[in-house]
Amino acid sequence: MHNEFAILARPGLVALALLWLSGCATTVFDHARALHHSGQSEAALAQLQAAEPEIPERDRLLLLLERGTLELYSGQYDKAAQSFVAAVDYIEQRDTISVREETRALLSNEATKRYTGEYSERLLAHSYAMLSFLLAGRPASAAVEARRASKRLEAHPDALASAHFTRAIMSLSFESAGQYNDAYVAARALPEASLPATTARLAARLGSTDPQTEVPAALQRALESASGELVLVVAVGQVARKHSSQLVGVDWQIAFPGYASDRQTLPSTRVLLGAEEAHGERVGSEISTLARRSLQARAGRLAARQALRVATKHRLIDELRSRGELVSQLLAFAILASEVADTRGWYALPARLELWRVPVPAGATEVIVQAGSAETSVPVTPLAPGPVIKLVRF
Amino acid sequence: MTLRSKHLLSLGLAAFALTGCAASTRAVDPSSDIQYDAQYSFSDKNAIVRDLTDSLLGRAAYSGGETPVLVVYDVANETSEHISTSGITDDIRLALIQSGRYRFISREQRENLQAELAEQGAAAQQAASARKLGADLILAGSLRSIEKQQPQQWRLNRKRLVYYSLNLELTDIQTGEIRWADKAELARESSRPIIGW
Repeated sequence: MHNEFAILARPGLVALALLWLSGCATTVFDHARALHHSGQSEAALAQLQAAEPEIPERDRLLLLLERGTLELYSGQYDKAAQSFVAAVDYIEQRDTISVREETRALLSNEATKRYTGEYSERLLAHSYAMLSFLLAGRPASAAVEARRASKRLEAHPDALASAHFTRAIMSLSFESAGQYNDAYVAARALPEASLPATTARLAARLGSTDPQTEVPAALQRALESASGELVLVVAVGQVARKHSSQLVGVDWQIAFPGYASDRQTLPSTRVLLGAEEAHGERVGSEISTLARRSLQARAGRLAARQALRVATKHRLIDELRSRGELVSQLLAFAILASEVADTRGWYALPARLELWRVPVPAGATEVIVQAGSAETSVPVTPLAPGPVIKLVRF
Repeated sequence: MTLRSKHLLSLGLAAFALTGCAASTRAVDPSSDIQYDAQYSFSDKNAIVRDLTDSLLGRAAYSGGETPVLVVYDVANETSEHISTSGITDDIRLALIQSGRYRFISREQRENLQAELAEQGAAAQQAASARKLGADLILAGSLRSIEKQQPQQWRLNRKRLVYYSLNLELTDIQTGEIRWADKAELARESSRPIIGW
């Protein structure tokens, strides 16, 4: 038995090296995210692109997601769509269990594996791809992503139950592509009265009326006097970050990812037309809540892998310490220290995403979007036929 | 086993292992049926285009006097894959042109042609040429897919079933009557291992 674990001693050094290297990519992403969240997405994109060669293959998905977000907010919609589609393809192609990766992670930690995204991030990759395609004027491609998102929602119904933003943008994508039946189905899957005017309009297009949908009178009046529709995608705050929690014993240690229990207080949003509140439809998702539920959904599998890793490391450390050599002692310490949680994540995401569909009357020149005490102006002249999409960030 | 034999054996094994890693390229016949997975491929495009052009050329869809002029609209991609359907419309147009049974106007070039005619000036000439740009029939359609995956269970392979259907319609511009409609179908099952190296 001793010899079997002695064989594993050399990979322990590899684990230590990987632990050291894993810090480099995180720093690159953090610098770019800090710039993005301070409103400098173009500078963040330039910095990330310059650092791309340093980013290891195991963080390829993070690179695609972060780069796509920065491209989107820099107005490079086609490039953003390419990045998000590449991210979705990467996720789909790497749904196999790699023996090599699992063995390496058994001796070090989960962060040495390829990052394949939380369920919420996998879904939001589709949502951001849809948004990029719509902004790039390619609704047919947005509808393709909407169908892929639909499969993702079916795969994880509990963890993604509150993904209302995604369903709203799915409906918009289908509608923009002229696929009204799919648009109606996506709108109807939202909680009641989320998109009453959209649901009623789509039902009418399909030659029926939706008995469960009642359009509020003020919204109905706004629709009747509208000359166009403004779709606002409002991002508020920064998504919660995972942190590492640890249980430490004499010669063992368990590290697992988690989220802080205290919830962020986010400002509520308002949309104003002139001095008055606009009558529109609003659908939102708390991205931090989605992320928490996604991590909870895979907590069982994560715990099973951790138990196996702790047992393996415990035996290996015993073996190394029994040798009494300084090198073996150092190696045992390194293996113990390599037990850190995988806290990687797509942190360029906001804490909340909202989709507003606002009927805009003829002659309106701007729409004001407020989040708490902050506000931003969105010019609306002239509105082209069909929904016009604008991104707003707080 | 002597040390020399062991070295030779090791070298032999290493060489054998490395041959699998060597990059290679080979020419492939575009008309051959090659599938790596269940996803839509050029072989599928060739098969469905062949089926539908055979069907369209197999019956008289237009009974007017002259060879009808046809305009091809985009095939709507209603699948879950980013498929460029212009490859389908280009191949159908090519097959129909080569048959001599239809004449075509280029939808993509229509604006350029109009601009060119406007540049040339003569109003009468413009009107005559604009009439020439008019089409008798519209060819349009949609590509759809239905996909089923095995549910997540303890197994070593995951199966995936994909069904594709390309529906095309030929519509008379004057009357709105659908003169011809047909579909081509494909269904494929693929399996991939859940555990890999």
